[in-house]
Amino acid sequence: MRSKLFLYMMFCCLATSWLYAQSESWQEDADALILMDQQKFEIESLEKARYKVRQVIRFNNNKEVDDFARVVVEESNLAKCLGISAKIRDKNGKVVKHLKKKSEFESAQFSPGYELYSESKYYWAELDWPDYPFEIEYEYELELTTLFLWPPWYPQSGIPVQKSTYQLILPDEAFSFNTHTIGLEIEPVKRQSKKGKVEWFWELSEVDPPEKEGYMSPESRNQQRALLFVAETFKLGKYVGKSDTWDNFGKWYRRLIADETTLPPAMVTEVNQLLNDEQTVYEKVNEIYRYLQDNTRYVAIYLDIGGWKPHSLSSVAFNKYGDCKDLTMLMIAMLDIAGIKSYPALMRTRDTGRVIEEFPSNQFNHVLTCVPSESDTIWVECTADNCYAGDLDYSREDSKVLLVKENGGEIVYIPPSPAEENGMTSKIKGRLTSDGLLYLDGWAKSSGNQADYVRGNLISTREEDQLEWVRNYVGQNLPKVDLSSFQTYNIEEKFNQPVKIEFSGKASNFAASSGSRLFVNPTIMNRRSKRSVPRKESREFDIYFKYAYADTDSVELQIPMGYALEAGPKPQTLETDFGRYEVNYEAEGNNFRYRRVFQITDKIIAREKYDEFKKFLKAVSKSDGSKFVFKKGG
Amino acid sequence: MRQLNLGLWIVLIISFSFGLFAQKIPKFGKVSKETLAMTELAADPEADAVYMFDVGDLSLRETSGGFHVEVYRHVRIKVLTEEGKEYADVSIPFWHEDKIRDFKAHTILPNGKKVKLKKKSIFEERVKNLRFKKFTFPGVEVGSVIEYKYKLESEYIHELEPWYFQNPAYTLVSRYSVTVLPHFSYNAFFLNEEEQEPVKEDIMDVYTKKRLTKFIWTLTDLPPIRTEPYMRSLNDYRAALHFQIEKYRHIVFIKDWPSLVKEIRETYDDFLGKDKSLQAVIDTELNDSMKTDDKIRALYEYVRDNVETTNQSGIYIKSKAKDVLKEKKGTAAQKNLLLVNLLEMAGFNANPVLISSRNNGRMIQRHARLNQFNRMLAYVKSGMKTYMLDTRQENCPFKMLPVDDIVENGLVVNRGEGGFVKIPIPRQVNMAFCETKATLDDEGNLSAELLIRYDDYRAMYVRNKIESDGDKAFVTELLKDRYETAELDTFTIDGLDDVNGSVTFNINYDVEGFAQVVGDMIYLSSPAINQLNENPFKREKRYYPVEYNYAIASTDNVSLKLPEGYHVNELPQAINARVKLQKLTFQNAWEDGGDTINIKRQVMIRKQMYTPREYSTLRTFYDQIVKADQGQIVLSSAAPTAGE
Repeated sequence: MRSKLFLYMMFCCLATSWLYAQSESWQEDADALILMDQQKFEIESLEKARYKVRQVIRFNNNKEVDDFARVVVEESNLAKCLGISAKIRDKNGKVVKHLKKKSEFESAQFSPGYELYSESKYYWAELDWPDYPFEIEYEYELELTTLFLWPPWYPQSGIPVQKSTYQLILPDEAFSFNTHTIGLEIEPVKRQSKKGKVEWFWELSEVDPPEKEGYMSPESRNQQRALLFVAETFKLGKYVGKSDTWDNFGKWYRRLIADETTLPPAMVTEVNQLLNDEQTVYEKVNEIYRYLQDNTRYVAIYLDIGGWKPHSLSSVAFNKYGDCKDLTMLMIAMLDIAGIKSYPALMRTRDTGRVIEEFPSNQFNHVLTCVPSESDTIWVECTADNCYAGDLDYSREDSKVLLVKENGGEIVYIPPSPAEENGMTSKIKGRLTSDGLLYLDGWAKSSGNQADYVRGNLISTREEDQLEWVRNYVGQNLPKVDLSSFQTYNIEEKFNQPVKIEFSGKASNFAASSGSRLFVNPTIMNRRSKRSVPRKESREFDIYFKYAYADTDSVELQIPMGYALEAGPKPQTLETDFGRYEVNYEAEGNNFRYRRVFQITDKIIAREKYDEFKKFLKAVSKSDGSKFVFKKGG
Repeated sequence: MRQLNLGLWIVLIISFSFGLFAQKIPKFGKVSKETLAMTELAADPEADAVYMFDVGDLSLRETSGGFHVEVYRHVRIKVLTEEGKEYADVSIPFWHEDKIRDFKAHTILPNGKKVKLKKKSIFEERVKNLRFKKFTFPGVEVGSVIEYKYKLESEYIHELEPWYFQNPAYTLVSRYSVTVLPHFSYNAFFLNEEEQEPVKEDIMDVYTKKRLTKFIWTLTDLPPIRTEPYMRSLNDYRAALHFQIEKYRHIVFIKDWPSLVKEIRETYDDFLGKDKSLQAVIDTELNDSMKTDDKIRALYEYVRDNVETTNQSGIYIKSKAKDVLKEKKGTAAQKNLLLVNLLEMAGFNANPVLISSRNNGRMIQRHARLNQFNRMLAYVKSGMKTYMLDTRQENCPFKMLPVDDIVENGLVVNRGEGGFVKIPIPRQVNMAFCETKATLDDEGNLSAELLIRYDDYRAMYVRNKIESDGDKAFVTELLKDRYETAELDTFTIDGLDDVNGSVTFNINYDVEGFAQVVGDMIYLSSPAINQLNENPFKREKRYYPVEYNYAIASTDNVSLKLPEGYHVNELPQAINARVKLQKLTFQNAWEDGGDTINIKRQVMIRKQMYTPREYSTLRTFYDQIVKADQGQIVLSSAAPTAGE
């Protein structure tokens, strides 16, 4: 008994000391480590809040210096930078660099990427040091004039985080707010605060960087651990709103856009000229949409709250340019002339994540136009030029959107397009020489999202560059392809028809030849490599594809005289509930006909099906990588 | 009658050519009906937009304070398609101390109506020393003409920017003119375009009542600029006019090379000094019994290894040699100048050399400007031998230069007039020697033991890559590039620390399903680590030369043990491809050794630059490598027949 107790105690001691040792040496060998990430958000009123950040990062070698050894602060007219400071400490703990004021930092005023101009200003400093290890410490404070931009808590970073904290100070007990957690299971601690304020505190230690596995959805890639906040009442510019329900949020947005709804008379006349009584509702919508596409272009200029409030309708019509919300409001006004009711729909483009339905808040980065109808809702993407009304690409599908109606908002789901709608078919005929050279001609047709991809690369491109692109498209799995001619269809018009490319040319070293044999891999247009098979044992998140799709390829080869099929992969059919693969062929005389079908039926596959998914891809890539062997005189 | 006709013809011909010559640029806002009605450009039917004209007019003005430059710019673009509307978003960069005045822009619709750009729609941004005027034209439709003009005032008369005739879209007329006071001398030369004499005009300056001379260069029908892969720098290839004002009476605006050399040498001389700390280094590192070569090498290695490089570029120096030595930290230029200092004190003839690194664009010898250079090297002459040294990279052995430094010429900044010197072309072979011992099982799985030895520039590249990515990442990527699915077992690396020697890897790895097994046959390609499965040159035509960083060579010796019971049914044929003139060599050989197959493969690419004319030869050469590497080995477990 005693010995057992003794053993038990020994075990506990060892266990705790082991655990303690683990904590002490947690990520000690990491290239870089965030020792402390402190965030403080203090709300004084609807129009005033302060956000303070302090980070201490240690660099043990140069690997993460390029990405993390700097401080960058973005200032806008809604978030003013009150101060920044930064320090570098060398391996002896001595402060070797100290920037105390904003004026000591580099600054630049420029607009990122697609924006022509926005009032963004950046302050930054490079904080690297040639001797390791070294530590940097920086602090900055922003004053926000709206709670609309309440910063969330992301305890995770690209490098390990020793400790991350978020301190929230509210003006009083009555202040109402909501939170939403992703991948976190911690409760805040309520702390004593001075002057009747309310304080909440969250803390997380030893946070590993995000999990990385193939086929990740945007939301699992970008937000694995997060705490989101929203104030129940908020104010942007002079517009006050409530975020307790989507209905109320919608009401607020309706107020934001309510200012101007009248179009210049010239435009009213032009729109009326497009309409006649024989047209269906869809036809009317499409006519007006084509008019919008021809007469406007996308330009994003953000001044003040211009990131959310559309420009006046008259200026958009005069300038003939605007961003997604400007063009949507213009479209809605034009549809109104035709007596068609439509609404703006706020969305989060699918490639950046998903709208969390249980958390009414600003999660949006884009606006669509919605024309509701009994049978089929028509969604219109006002910033796209080369499509018809109702055409959406994958980044606008599988999304929940907030439909902003006259008296409130409601969440509506835009379903993803099925595999058949995103299809690609190809047919290639070729004559093979005993040298391995293939003279080929064929065509490839694609629809839906696959057509978007092809059209996006060919539209308004010079013929010389189109040739280059088509050559790479046909020859992506081959050593070298030279095309003597090509023809494209439905690239610049007839957007409801599949895009078609016809091509003719030759592929060098298409088949490997050696003495008496020819080795042929007939998967020309679509071939899945072994690299696409995920390797991990288990999986954290669901498997994600941008869209469901189906590829069907047929190849007909004329083998040189005297050669017969000696060996090759077996014909097979693999059926799963998330996809299918089918290969069959026949060799008759010197004709070889091969057909391959590959389909992904569900764009999201549950992680429980991971093993089955791996097995499926492995079999596909093995078959796709195999060669057919033709022997002379055999 | 006939004579009159002839006279008429002569007049017509003369006026016609004058018309071509004078190329009248329309006034701002005055657009011809033809331009408005234009729907496409015959010379470039695929054009989305066309520059009707692009005018730059520079005048040198004398004021009470001195001289300043005024550049008048007027651009007119016709939008031909929906995509051409993107030319309506404009960003004009300018130096932060310069000023832009009299800015005007408008859109002219196809029906002739004008839409003015409002002042509040012109934004300004700033990044470091550059400011940007940004705006977008209002009301643009297909068929519109967009036009803007402004005046730029600058005090910087010494370093005038070149004028680029070409634009992203087809340009009908590009005109650059310079108005200067008489009795001055100028230097103007063209790049990527035939030399052209300017048209001279005498004009009267209304303000000063002085007679001025105007020089006009006009080019017409310019195709748009293209970019291609494997190019050093785009501006090396654009048609440009470089214009510099040299002298006006006794005032010299531009310096010539000797005076620039003298100016910057003075700042370098401030840095140099015979300090005892430097003497101490010489006393420790050198002794009289050493050969010249070894002495120079010892000092080079000392500076390279004992002083931290804080900045890779820059040619201006502050501080003193002894401080750099004391703090053990310095920019690349400070380090190399410290080396020059040490070498001089040790009795060598050493000087700094300024270069423009590979990605900085080629140096223009005709243009006496110091701001073309971004790096400094150390140049030593000893008897008949010369040494070009750069201490900034710790993995760079003596007598080699970091890759980015390998350019054509450099400017020697000595105590005299300076001069141009050739940067030595690297003569190393840069070999990757590989030996693979592999075993194949009857399920097609491969297990291999690989030895790779990298020399010269390949070794330097490997050392730098391992330093930034880590050794495991390097090896994993090496395998990933070659095999679709390889599992790394173990690896060791030798020689990483000896910068002068090779780097040798020993890697053990497995590849599942490497060979295709069908019945009693097995098909596979060579497991050599060097293998090409596609031609890197996809395009049929090429406009610009292909530029490699250095010559390369690789050798593979493979010994593949066959699975139990299998023998060779067929082996690919040996291929021997040699293009003597272009210095390209490829050869391989296969040998049936019973239960083993021995394979040899060798590639050599010995030239650093291939012209567009040589491109198809280069492309065909790669075809042959692909063909050879595709070769399939056929194994059989059935009893060998008489034919085999």
